[in-house]
Amino acid sequence: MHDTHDTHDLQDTQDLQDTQDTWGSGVMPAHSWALITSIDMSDQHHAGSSHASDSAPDSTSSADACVSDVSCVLPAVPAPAPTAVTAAAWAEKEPDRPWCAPELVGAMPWAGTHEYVHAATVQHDGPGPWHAVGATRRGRVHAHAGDFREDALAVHVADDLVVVVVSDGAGSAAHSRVGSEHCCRTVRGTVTTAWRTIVASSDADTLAQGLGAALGDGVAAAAASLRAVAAQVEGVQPRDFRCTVIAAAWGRSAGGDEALVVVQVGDGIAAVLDTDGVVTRTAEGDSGDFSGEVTCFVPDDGCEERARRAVRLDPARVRALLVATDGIEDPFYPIARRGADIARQLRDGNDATLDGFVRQPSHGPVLGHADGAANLATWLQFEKRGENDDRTIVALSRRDVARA
Amino acid sequence: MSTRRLPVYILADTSGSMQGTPIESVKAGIGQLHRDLMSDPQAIESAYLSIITFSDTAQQLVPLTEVSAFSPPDLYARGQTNFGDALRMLIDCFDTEIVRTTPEQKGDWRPLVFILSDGAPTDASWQQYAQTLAERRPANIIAVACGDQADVGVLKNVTEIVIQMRDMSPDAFRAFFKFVSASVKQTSAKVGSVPDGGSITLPPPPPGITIVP
Repeated sequence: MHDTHDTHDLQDTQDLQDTQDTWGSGVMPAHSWALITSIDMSDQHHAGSSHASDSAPDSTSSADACVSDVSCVLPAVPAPAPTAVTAAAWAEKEPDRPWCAPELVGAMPWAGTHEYVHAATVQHDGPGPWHAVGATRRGRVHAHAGDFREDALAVHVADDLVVVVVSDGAGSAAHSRVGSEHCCRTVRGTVTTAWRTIVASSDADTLAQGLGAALGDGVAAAAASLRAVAAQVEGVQPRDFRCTVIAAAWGRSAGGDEALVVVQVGDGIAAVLDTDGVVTRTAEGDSGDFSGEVTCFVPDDGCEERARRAVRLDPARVRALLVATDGIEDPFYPIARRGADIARQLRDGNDATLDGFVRQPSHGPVLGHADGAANLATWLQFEKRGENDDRTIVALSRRDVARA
Repeated sequence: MSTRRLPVYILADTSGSMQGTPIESVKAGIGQLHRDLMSDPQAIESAYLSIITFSDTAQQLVPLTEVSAFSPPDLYARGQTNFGDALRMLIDCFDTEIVRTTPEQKGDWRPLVFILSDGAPTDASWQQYAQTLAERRPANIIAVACGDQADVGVLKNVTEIVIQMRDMSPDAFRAFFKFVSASVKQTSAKVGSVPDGGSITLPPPPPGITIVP
């Protein structure tokens, strides 16, 4: 049965502060609770060493971890000698406007008080079967332009229920960062609310159906509310909130039956590291002939139908589940070939740089590790030419098989 | 694994009517475009430029070349306006130079094409290639009608996005190439939607340049 005492989330701001102080000193609590901390974007600092000035914990996170709260070719005609042109370096700028456009706040009050951070991590290390770590960071393109991170994530981990959601706001949509955040919160909230009923399921099949339906309901609710906001606010269109979503839910009934389901609208990846060590996508991502083009976003017409195509996984075969936005998928494409690299690096830590990458910082193990979130944040700092989008990933690992 | 590119094609009319200030302004504009893109790290990492000119025939003076290795070519104005050959060459470039997404690799970003012309086609084949482009929608194409003699109707057959630049002064071309630069920078960081034809939101055109409805 769902029991709030088994919900491994921070209960109040003081808990968060206490935990973060311990984190900041480099000592991981033996039994950590949900941990949300902003992380330093510079390459000179590793995540987890953040302090007051750059650590802005989300004081609103009391029940769930929601990180977004938290050929040179000779021309046929002789050309003049090239003039020396200096190439610009990446800059890091702060946005000069509020995270949520003022005209939206009346229709979305939560967005007016949302405490945005450029980067954050989340970790759940409770007594349930899953170890959950997540990290998100603003991409260099957004940092250079003084724009906000448009990715979001939300995580809920309890003894009998785990929900993870990642979302990527479409770069061409004016309010996509609000859309992605809203989508994550709504999906997570819908599933956790529905769980009170689903948990009474008599078998794994019913459990899976209930969880799949709840994920679909969550995406549908997010789409409906975003359309409602657009109808209410002059000059705003539903497409202004466009975002992708990948969500996974695991549940265990009182009788011990388990189910794990995944839904996806848009691009990004959900991939399983199975007990044989093989990495497989749960579904092909939605994309077109060209990079960055997606067939259907939330809240486009038809997103609900896509969100109801839940993929059911066998929990007993899952060593780890990774859900990530295209900021991770694209540099590691195709996952069929590169997924094993990701899994190895997250499982064992990494001291090398993969072919095709400019740099990958050294880090320790992520899956099932006490310093997993900090190590994941370091992993997220990889550099690859042209790949400068926001990056968000959540890794769930089964405590009993993750280190096998 | 290869880098995902944002291919940018500049199709410049180099027929005889472009002699003098216009062709010199286009040359200067391409140089300015190059300098502007070198000021944007994402453009340096992802934008690739190609220059195709058309007069009696079309010629790809610079194949797709990364920004940091790009060298603005010299341009000469003479001859007729073989627009059809330019469109044919553009389609050939799409077929041979553009990488599309497959299960094995991520494709390029949807190409961005800027067509500059100050007159009307002198060939008979342009309609055939314009129709091919309209059907395939292989790129975001922006056509620029330069001066008062440009045939806007012809350009409208190629793309829905036609802008008019009546003034052909150096300042006008400078402003136009600033617009090109801003469009490239914006496109290299934005995501399109397939139902929208992958269309992107362009920056507002500079004063003196109007969008033809």
